[in-house]
Amino acid sequence: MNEVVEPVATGVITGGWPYIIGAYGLTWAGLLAFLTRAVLLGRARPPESP
Amino acid sequence: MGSEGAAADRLLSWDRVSLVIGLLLLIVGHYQGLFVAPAEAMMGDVGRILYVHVPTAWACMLVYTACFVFAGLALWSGKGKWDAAMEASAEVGVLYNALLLIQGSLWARPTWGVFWTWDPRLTTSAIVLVLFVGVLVLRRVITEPERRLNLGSIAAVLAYAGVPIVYFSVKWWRTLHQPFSSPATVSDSFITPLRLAAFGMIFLGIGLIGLRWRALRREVERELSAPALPAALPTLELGQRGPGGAA
Repeated sequence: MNEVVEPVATGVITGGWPYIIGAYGLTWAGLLAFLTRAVLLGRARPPESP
Repeated sequence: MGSEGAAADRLLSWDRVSLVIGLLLLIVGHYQGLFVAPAEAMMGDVGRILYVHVPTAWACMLVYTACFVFAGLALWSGKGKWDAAMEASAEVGVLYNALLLIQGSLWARPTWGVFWTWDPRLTTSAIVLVLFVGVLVLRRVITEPERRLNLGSIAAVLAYAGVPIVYFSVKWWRTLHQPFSSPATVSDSFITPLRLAAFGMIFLGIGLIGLRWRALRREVERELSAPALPAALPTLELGQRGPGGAA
């Protein structure tokens, strides 16, 4: 006789804030890191032409 | 550079305005998405990743499209300014694409149970990221400016062929990923933060492209305007004696 298996994935997903903070935090970190790099490279003096 | 260079810099001055607008829109959109909008019915709070993930995806596609257009203009005109714009937009596209995959992985874990699966949407997005990283690497290894312009632009056009495949992957194949997202497919209460964050990412992308374009343009135009080295320099063969009789 086959055993009846109750579905387990029911209801609303609870918690998840570590994932939310990770997604937003890493996004802002990446954007600000790229922005900082772009500003610094923009200010760098080009090498003198020979 | 003289007055022409100063005029070009003035033309590029919109990048800072766009950056500020983008950052402000993104801050307000993310604040609303995190603390004002209601939790999603099935996903609960984790559904709030929508307001960072979907705008990044839309902006990423637009930035790659800009890269494709700049590559075409560079190939057509041979001008360094379009070559620099192509590289700048490829850099921002790679940034957005990488962020997109990270956000997606962090959303997939609580909803699908895994950080990564070889789903068509995820796989094609990762392939496009690798292709555009390849474009940037190719540009780094080619030192001759005109050759770099031509080969880099051709590579960018070829890499862009993957972008429509990413877009239509949720329609063409069976996939875990949800279908196309738009304001028409989400609840009214989600639309405002989604729009704010989307325009924020787009304006920020324009600003970042402008910032990088400004710096890269100086380098590329200086290289393209430098006098070419002679094709072949006179060489002394081993053992041949110079004018003074020394070997």
